[in-house]
Amino acid sequence: MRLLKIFIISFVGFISAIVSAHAVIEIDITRGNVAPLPIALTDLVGSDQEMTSGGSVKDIGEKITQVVTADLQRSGLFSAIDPRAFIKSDNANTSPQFANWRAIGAQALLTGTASLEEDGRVRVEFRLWDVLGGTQMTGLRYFTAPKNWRRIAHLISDTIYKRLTGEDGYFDTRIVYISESGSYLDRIRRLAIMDQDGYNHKFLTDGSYMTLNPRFSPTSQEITYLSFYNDTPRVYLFNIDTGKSEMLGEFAGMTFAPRFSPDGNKVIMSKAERGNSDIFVMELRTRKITRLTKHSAIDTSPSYSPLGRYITFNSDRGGSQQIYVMDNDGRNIKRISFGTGLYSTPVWSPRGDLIAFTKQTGGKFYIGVMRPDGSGERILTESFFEEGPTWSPNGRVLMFYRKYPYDNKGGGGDTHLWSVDLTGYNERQVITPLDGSDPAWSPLLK
Amino acid sequence: MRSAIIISVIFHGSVLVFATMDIPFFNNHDVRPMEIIPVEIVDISEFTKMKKAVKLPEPEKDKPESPKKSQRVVEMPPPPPKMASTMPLENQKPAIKPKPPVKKVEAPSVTPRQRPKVPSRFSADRVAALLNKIEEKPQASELLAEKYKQKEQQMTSLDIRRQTMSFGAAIQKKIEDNCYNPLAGAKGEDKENVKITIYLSLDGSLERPPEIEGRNRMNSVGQEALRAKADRADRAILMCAPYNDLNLPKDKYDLWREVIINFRPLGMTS
Repeated sequence: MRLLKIFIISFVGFISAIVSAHAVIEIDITRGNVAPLPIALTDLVGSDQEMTSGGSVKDIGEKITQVVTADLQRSGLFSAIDPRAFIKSDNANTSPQFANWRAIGAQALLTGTASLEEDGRVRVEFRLWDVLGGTQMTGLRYFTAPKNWRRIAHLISDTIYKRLTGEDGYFDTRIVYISESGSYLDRIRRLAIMDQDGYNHKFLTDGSYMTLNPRFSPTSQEITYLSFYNDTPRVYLFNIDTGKSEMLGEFAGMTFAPRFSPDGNKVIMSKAERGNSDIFVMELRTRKITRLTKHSAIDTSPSYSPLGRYITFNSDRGGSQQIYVMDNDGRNIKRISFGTGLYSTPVWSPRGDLIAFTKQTGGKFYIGVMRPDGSGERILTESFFEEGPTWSPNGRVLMFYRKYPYDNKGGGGDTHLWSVDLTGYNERQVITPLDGSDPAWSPLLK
Repeated sequence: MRSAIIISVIFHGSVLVFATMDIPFFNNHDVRPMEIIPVEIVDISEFTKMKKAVKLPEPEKDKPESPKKSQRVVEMPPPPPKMASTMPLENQKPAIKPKPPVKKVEAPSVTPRQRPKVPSRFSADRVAALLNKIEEKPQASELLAEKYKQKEQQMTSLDIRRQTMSFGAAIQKKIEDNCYNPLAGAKGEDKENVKITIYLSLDGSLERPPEIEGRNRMNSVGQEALRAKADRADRAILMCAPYNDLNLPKDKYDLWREVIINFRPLGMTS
């Protein structure tokens, strides 16, 4: 009988557990409203008594916040709350009064301090807070020479970006591009470099020879570019840190678009021989050149996949200019673009899931993306003339150049750099001192 | 030996009972309640139709059945056809129009809409007739009410499931429409889902912080994207709280106290 009692009790308990468990509601959230995340960015607090060569520490703290605000705002994923709406700035060393920040709609909050060390360096500390959860999400401290405050700001932006989106940032990066000046018929093209936000602009060549197609190494601060010396195309390797330029080769035929392999050890390019352009790859260490395609059609604009296993390029072997993908040894060539119009300048995304391209149809040019198998084509921008997309190192943003017509006949006009988010939103012009074209985005600085 | 037999009988008997009574435990997840709900809706609409069907023919029946209900018919010969329906009071407006001054005096405090209904050109007999009819109506509605009561008393697993679905839909709509901000274009956003359990208080506020499944794992290196996704989901839940605006019935608190929310944005990525 005792056994029976135990059984009945446990049986009843089991049944009641089933019934109570069933009362739980389970729902799926499959959609939402995509909107910039409201974030409050307070000035990093510093003393105006502590002076550096670049001004007081208080000024540096405020300028850092301004750069961080501009970075995050420009990404299109964040909405910086107007500081005039702040109810009260908290003491940077204590936990914030979250209710005050919730009241103005902030979901994240930046607080921090800047101070001067005895050795003359600036110490910058910041904390990122989850306003709704009332917790600290991250906190970091940097030491640097006062003149490097902009880099500190970009590093803070990257940290915030990564913590809130889960993706690597792209603010501590640089852009190399072709700066253009002069008349339409007598254009001077110089190699130039700047931070991704347009600051710290420098010319790397003097314009004596026309330069084209700069491309960043994915592993180092090196650039390949093409320069026409006495009308002969030469591929150069330029080291940004040392400022030294090294010629990789002088090619008899026309050469285009040299681009690094993901490991930085090879350069892939298209080279014309007897009027026919094919894809070649050069080992940087041995300078050995290997042909990858051999076809009577014109093959150009090669670009490696992030792991280096595949190469995308464009070719008119199918009758019109389309995008193709092949193995890194030149085998298994497959056409992936089948839409109307002409496709060119394919560039594989650093995160591997997309290929960006330029499309020409109906008298207009477009920048778009598609999956490596050719599916999911999406047009992001359109204009009279635009091409040359380059990916931010996190694969989130595309930069390209856009040319405006002088007149209705389509004569070339002003040329500017533009950026657009992967989703097709947040299209912005990148400000350069002169006209700019052919941008290439660097990897994150180290 | 005897105990074992009794246990065996109870156990097998209960299995048979469960199998016949549609206990949720025995329902395969494949058999989603969505397939069953339409059946219930059809039932309700049938009842609704029944109401109208019962009401409309009544007066017509009254006339032929004059022997039985002669008192009513005799008392108010002209208006009965209009009185037949309880709903179309508006139909009486034209007939009432000639007596507006009387209405104004009688019902000054009544809202304009109700004024046309108030006019009482009817005599006491008419009221009596009305009452007579009302007596009939309750019979039908009482029957329905009884049916519903019986149904409520027999709260099957299907009823529970239907109600929890209703509460869940309200919470889901609020979060999707007002609070969840997914990261469009994020790689793998739709690959790994975030599962969060929340416990609601009786007043609709969060009883405790949301519990994110696998939270510790998300803090490891390489899980930044998943952690950020979980944070976005967490923020949506916190931002939407409290949920008292959904008017979740307090007497059914047990049904909506615990909510499991799966964040699986679809079609929002590359």
